[in-house]
Amino acid sequence: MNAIMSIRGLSHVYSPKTPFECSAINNIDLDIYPGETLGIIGHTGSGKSTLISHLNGLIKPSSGEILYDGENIFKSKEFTHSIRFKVGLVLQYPEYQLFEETVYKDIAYGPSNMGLSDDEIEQRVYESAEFAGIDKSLLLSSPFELSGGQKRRVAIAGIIAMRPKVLILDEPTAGLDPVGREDLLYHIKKYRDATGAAVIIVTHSMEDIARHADKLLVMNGGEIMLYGTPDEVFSHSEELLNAGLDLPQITHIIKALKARGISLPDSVYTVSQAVDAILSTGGVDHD
Amino acid sequence: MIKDVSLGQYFPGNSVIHRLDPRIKIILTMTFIVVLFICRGFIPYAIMTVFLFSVIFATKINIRLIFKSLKPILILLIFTAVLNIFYTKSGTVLFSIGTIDITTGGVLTAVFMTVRIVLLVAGTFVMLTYTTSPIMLTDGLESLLSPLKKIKFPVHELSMMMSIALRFIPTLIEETEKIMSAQKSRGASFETGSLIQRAKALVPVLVPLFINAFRRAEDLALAMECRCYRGGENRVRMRVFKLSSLDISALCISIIIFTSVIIISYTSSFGVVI
Ligand SMILES: Nc1ncnc2c1ncn2[C@@H]1O[C@H](COP(=O)(O)OP(=O)(O)OP(=O)(O)O)[C@@H](O)[C@H]1O
Ligand SMILES: [Mg+2]
Repeated sequence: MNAIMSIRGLSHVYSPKTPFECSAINNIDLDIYPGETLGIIGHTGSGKSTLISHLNGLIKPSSGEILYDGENIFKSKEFTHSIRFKVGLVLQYPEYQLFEETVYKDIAYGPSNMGLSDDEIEQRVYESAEFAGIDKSLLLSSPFELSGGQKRRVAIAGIIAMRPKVLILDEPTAGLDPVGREDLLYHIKKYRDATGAAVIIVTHSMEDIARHADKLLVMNGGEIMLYGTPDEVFSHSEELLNAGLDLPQITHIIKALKARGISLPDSVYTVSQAVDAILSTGGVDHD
Repeated sequence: MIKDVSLGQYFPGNSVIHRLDPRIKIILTMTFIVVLFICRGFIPYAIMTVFLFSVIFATKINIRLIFKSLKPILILLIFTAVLNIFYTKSGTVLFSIGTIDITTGGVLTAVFMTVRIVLLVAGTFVMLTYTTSPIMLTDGLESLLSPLKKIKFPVHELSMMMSIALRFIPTLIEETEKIMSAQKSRGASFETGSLIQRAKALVPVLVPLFINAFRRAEDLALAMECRCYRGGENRVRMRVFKLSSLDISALCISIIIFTSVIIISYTSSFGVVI
């Protein structure tokens, strides 16, 4: 499979040549594949947001390049602008960007910037509201009357309405309750499966990422520390813990069980895997 | 982007100048400006320039940054210099362009005026805004203005408003950038199109910005009320200003320098009088 986006030798320095100079990311190489969910984890300040803000051209790299379908996204101003519709970026706390009188109009803002016809816009608003899990009855209410979680869905729908080929979400589940988180991630997955888009999710929740990501990228100090499937990444548990990150809770439990002499497989990162693993040991001997 | 505007920005540090009492810095900066306006002649200006450069050196702030911050006043400088060259007629004529004579007096005035403005702006930046945090600055101002409380002037309220305003400038700038990024991600463009189109493109930025600002103001008011804030009455300060030996020596040295500058200026045996 060909990568839809490629990052080559990407580095970014904030406020160069001032006392505030800060090297946020350093020499990043990464490929992003269609239909795949990439989870990005790393502790606060490790450069996750900086990395993804490059992908739709919001910030320019200090060095290195970003290719979309083999073309440098900064090759011309018009091209960078058109990339924003193909690479949809939902920033952290997107609920603070809503501005229209109604939810409908707010979701329609992106598509209307694309210059689509009214019919097409309408279709996309309904479609993306469904993908984001927004009830149709809310479309005509003011976005400022909604709850925080509903606002977040509206903001996400505003990006999905552009039908991006790459959908990037910066901590989409921060501040949501467990049911809300799961539901949101489920809807995002549905969008991915329906359109074959690549999805990138930045998160602090190991549980979310263990369940939903196909690939994991661990950032540490502006560099890629680990990259691979969840199995590969979580097998480096020592390194993760040293980088100030955690393992999924269930993995801790399995580890503790193993420490007590119960034979269980190493790679258990979700509750359902754990259930299977425990059942397949054929019961625990009591003495 | 917007953040790169270093005008009036604070550069944290721990230099001698950073550690000076803000009240002393305010008084010295004001005196510095007054002296700049009444001094004349080569030597006084030279002394003032050396004085400022020593202060800059003491702050440990990169001198290039200070020159960069002067860029916005470049036009003003050129304008002043040109006006003075053409309109001052004194001393001997150097050469003439058409009917206009360029005189030594004109050139000298132009040079002095330019130096004066540069020293004034750079001085205020270096001695006040670059090296004093906004909170210290307003606290210092409040303390200096406190005698006015006797005539019922709301000194505390004023300085509280000022510190809140100053406190929220960076927050608002940051927030503007975030919202602009968010709307750009939805295909907004702020740099293309006609003037009207550009103004319209700002609506999606301004609406959330104002809503968030009001929300913040409300939260802050609530938080202050929860902690029983009710103005300056009976309020004690966490930071009590006390003059240290450093402040006293800075004050003495500066007074000596400023006095000598004025004496030299008006005894006119040195340098050129203009
Ligand atoms: N606009 C900016 N100007 C200057 N420095 C910045 C800016 N944005 C981020 N940084 C710095 O860059 C580094 C990486 O920040 P970034 O926001 O990418 O981290 P993050 O991994 O997204 O953290 P979090 O998990 O808290 O969101 C940090 O050290 C931060 O201080
Ligand atoms: Mg972040």
